[in-house]
Amino acid sequence: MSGARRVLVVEDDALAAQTVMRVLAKAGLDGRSARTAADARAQAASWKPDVILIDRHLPDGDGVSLARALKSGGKPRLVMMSGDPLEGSEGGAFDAWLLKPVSMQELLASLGG
Amino acid sequence: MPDHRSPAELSSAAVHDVRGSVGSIRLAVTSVLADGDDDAEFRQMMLTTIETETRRLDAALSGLQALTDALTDSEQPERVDLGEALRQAAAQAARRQVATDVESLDAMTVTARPAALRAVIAALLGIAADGAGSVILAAKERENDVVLRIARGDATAVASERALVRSLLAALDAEATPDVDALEFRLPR
Repeated sequence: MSGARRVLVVEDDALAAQTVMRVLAKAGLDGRSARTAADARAQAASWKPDVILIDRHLPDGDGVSLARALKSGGKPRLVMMSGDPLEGSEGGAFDAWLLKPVSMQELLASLGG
Repeated sequence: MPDHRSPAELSSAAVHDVRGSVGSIRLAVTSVLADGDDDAEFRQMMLTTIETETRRLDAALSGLQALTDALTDSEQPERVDLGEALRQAAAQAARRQVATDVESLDAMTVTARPAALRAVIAALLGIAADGAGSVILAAKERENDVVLRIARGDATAVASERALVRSLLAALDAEATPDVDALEFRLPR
């Protein structure tokens, strides 16, 4: 998988994360998952993904705060995927956002590149 | 730590949880529909996901009903025979394909609203089992509380951090206690 775009999936629900990972693998992308904001920060620093797909509600924080902490110099691309719409200035933390339920096409299109 | 969220916040968090299953189902279905290279292994994985998520969704919908019932229940807390309440909850869960092995129920009582207690416990049994299968329900007295523990029959971990689970516990005025593998919470005696 070397050379494939790296996508970090931040999702606390294991089955939901697994489903997204399978779709990413099928599309030829290199995916990893994180179940908490702390794990996401650690993997973002060590693995340096091209895209981070973030759920809104996490066991140790919220996705909007995580996105603001992860964005540095325009990278990585940050995509919110949640059942709740973003409000006010929250959308500014992301390059794209998806409102569940999303289709495979919508998911892959949001990743850019 | 007690959960002081409003009923609207509890409902909103629970609905968000339910949308997770709907999201996985749509993602899996659209992936299968778009699979142009007839990948049998991928299709099988996605169909398995759809089957599992459909069961979880059904359990979550029962959980939403129980949450509504508990949040709108105007009964006052009273002394409740825990053994009888848990047996009724287990019977209710059994009607939705969840088998419950009830352990350790030696004449315990708790202070709770009876109907809400039965409805929430039945819903938690279903959610813990992901909509079908078996769970083990145990109770033990600890100081001023009774600790209830719901574990899966196959010994895999229960997703006890789910928003729906937290909302149901809050609606019952129950307090979650840390447990890596099971759903554990306290009710006042």
